[in-house]
Amino acid sequence: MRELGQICLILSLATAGYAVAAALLGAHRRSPGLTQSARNAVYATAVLVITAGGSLIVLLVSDRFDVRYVAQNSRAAMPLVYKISALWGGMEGSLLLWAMILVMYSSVAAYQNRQRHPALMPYVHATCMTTAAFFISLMLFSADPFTPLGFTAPDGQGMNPLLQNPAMAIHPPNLYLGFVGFTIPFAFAIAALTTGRLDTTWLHSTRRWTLIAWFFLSVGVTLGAQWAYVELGWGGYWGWDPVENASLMPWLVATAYLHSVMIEEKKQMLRVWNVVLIISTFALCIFGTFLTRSGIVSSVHAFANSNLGPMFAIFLGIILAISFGLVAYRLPELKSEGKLEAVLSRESSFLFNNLVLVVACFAVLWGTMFPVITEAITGTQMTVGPPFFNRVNVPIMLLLLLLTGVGPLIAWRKASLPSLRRAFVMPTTAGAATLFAMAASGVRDFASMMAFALSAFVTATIVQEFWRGARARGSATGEPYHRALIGLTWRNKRRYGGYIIHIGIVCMAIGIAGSSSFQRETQATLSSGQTFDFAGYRLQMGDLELFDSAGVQVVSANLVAFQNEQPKFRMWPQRHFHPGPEVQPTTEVAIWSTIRHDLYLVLAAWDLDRGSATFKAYLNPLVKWIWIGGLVLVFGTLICMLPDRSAELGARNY
Amino acid sequence: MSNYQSGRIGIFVALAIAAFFVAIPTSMWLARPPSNVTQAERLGAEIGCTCGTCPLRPIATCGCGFADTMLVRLDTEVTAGRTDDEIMAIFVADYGNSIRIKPKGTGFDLMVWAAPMVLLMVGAVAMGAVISNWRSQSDLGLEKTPLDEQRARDPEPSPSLSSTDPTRYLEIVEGELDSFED
Repeated sequence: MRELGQICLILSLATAGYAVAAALLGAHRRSPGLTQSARNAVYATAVLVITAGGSLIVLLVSDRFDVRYVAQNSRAAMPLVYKISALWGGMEGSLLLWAMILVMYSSVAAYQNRQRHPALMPYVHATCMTTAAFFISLMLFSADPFTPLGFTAPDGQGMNPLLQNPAMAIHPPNLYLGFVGFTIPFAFAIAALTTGRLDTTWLHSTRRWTLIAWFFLSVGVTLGAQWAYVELGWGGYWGWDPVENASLMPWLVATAYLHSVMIEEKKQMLRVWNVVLIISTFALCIFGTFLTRSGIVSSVHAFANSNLGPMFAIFLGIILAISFGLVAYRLPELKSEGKLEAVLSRESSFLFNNLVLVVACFAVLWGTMFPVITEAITGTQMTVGPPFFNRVNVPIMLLLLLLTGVGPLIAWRKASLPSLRRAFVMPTTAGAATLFAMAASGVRDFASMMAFALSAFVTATIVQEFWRGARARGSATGEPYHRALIGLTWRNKRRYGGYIIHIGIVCMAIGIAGSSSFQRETQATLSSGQTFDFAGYRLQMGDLELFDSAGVQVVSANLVAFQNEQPKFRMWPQRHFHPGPEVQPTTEVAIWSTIRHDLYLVLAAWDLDRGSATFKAYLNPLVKWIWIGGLVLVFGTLICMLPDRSAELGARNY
Repeated sequence: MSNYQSGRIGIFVALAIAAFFVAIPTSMWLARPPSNVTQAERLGAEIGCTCGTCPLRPIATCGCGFADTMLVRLDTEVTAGRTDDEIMAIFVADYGNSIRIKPKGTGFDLMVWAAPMVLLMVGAVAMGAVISNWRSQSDLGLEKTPLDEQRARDPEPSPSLSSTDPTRYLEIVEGELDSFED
């Protein structure tokens, strides 16, 4: 099986190289036969890389500890799901997953467009397969997942215990599905730039691909936050770790692209800007992968002892040089005659939305890389941590929230002041009432007050949009209101799906504002039967136990939570000690989650002889709204992704 | 280039320069220490934990034992009546400069605070210039379409939410979407 995987990787490099050569030659000679051959090579590469990935999974599941990757990342006693997720638990396996997803996406795009875009597709194949060849080369020449250990180890070292978590089992694949997904729109952009076919055809062809990638990246980022919340045990969900930042940056730029692309589709404007945005999104995805593997910044997520950094830096440099070289070459054709009927228009609000998203991305990138820059220039080490990111990003995000509400209220092309006045009345009233209510209830934190007020403003805007649209449709068609609402959304999936996504973002903003501004914490040391009061709860300690669970030593405390003298629920905060060359402790927090707040309990210290334990307790208001917001966002994106009959009919062919 | 155009460019250049000079104090304001917290809380949020498993996390929020030890040390120094700079110097001497997780708002460190604010404010002016340019091009060369002529006759030209007639509103929504969607 090890040999099969290795042979498949070697062959896949050959087929990917052939696909690139055949595609470029086919495009040069205008030979459909060569293009078809390139497409077949894409399929062959996919079969080979997926077979290699399948081989590694089989090796992991069958405990083949004669393979170095398996011995380093798996253990006989690990549950099956974590043995499989060990595929992306180590660097070599994660590169293989990257390559697997890329060849799958490339094959689907190749098959989907086999009868379409004959001029563009050779360059799409060439771009995708060049990227695939790069990742396959990394594995073959520097990070081979099939390297033999030289002997058969009695057991493996096991996966990092922090990664043995359900959210972590699905978070990296989602991130990779997002990161890699942007390869397809990027490849189409490169194809459009190379061929000079710069109309909106490539945008239409990649719309759903962009949404799919954005969808998975959103899910990946949210799952990553949830993993941090339940696994790291510090009471929060976002630590501005460089690798977390690496996933956020392409998301921000891709969000800007999803908005600005509408202006190009509608008015053929912003062509240079859109091409730059999609190139930047893809480059940031590669940059994120580089950050994780280069070791240039310290992170809990980074793969240690990797020598891949320089290769990623070179690849990134080549991508940027070729892409922006093509943009410069095509600049005269890309320039569009910008015309705007009115300053007060949705186009303007989208432009400012783009500015704010790009500035947010820059702030994150700048803060992440500033220590490296400082060390290079001044020679001194420094760190940029949460205080910087929170201070800088809070005003930027508030501005973005404001624009999220303002955008739908302004019409395309031109909006008159009287109509704006009427449109703004209800949302502004909702926002002002929220602000007043918060001030009256004694809240003085300006940022959270603004976040809640703007959330109310945006929600009112969207509710108003749905209500008026459904009422109008109901009046025109005679449908009852609920059917009119569904019909309205179904008829205009992109618009109303987008509004649902905005609702998801509002939910997240509420959760972030609530949990970061009003978090409370305390610490208490208890023996069996003792209690402490915190945030309306009385927590009584029961037993403190030490036991073995599948080879893991577990220290577990048992507490009963009372409210109004009535027992309400039990909590079991734990510490786990995972076996290995060095015992690795992890914190397993106990969380009681409600729509209003989470009670978050950490077992900080203990004395088994005395039966006493020290707990850190956090009250995190509104955290659940973040996860609800994630679900709403998923729902809205799925609606946006549903096929449009008009879109199917409207696709033009090159 | 006409006098009008060069005058407009001059205005936007002046605005961009003004935005730059507004961005710098804004970033210094962002970098300032919060005033409504105690010295221990303030420094606890600016000193990073060095345990190795939670890098960058402020000791005030990091739940690990290492952070607890550093917090005890911080309380001791605060009780001794030392200033923020003195305490920070003690921690830097003991743990290295990397524990300082909030860059200063002065000197070279100011760049990290200033760059995003400069980009935001100068970018907003640049965006205003672009929109203004598009608007003037529209005035100069926009050919009138039948829809435009209809709008010119319509006392309520904006296809916005203002329409009180539901049927008219639906027409507007559908019309917008037909021109927008594929």
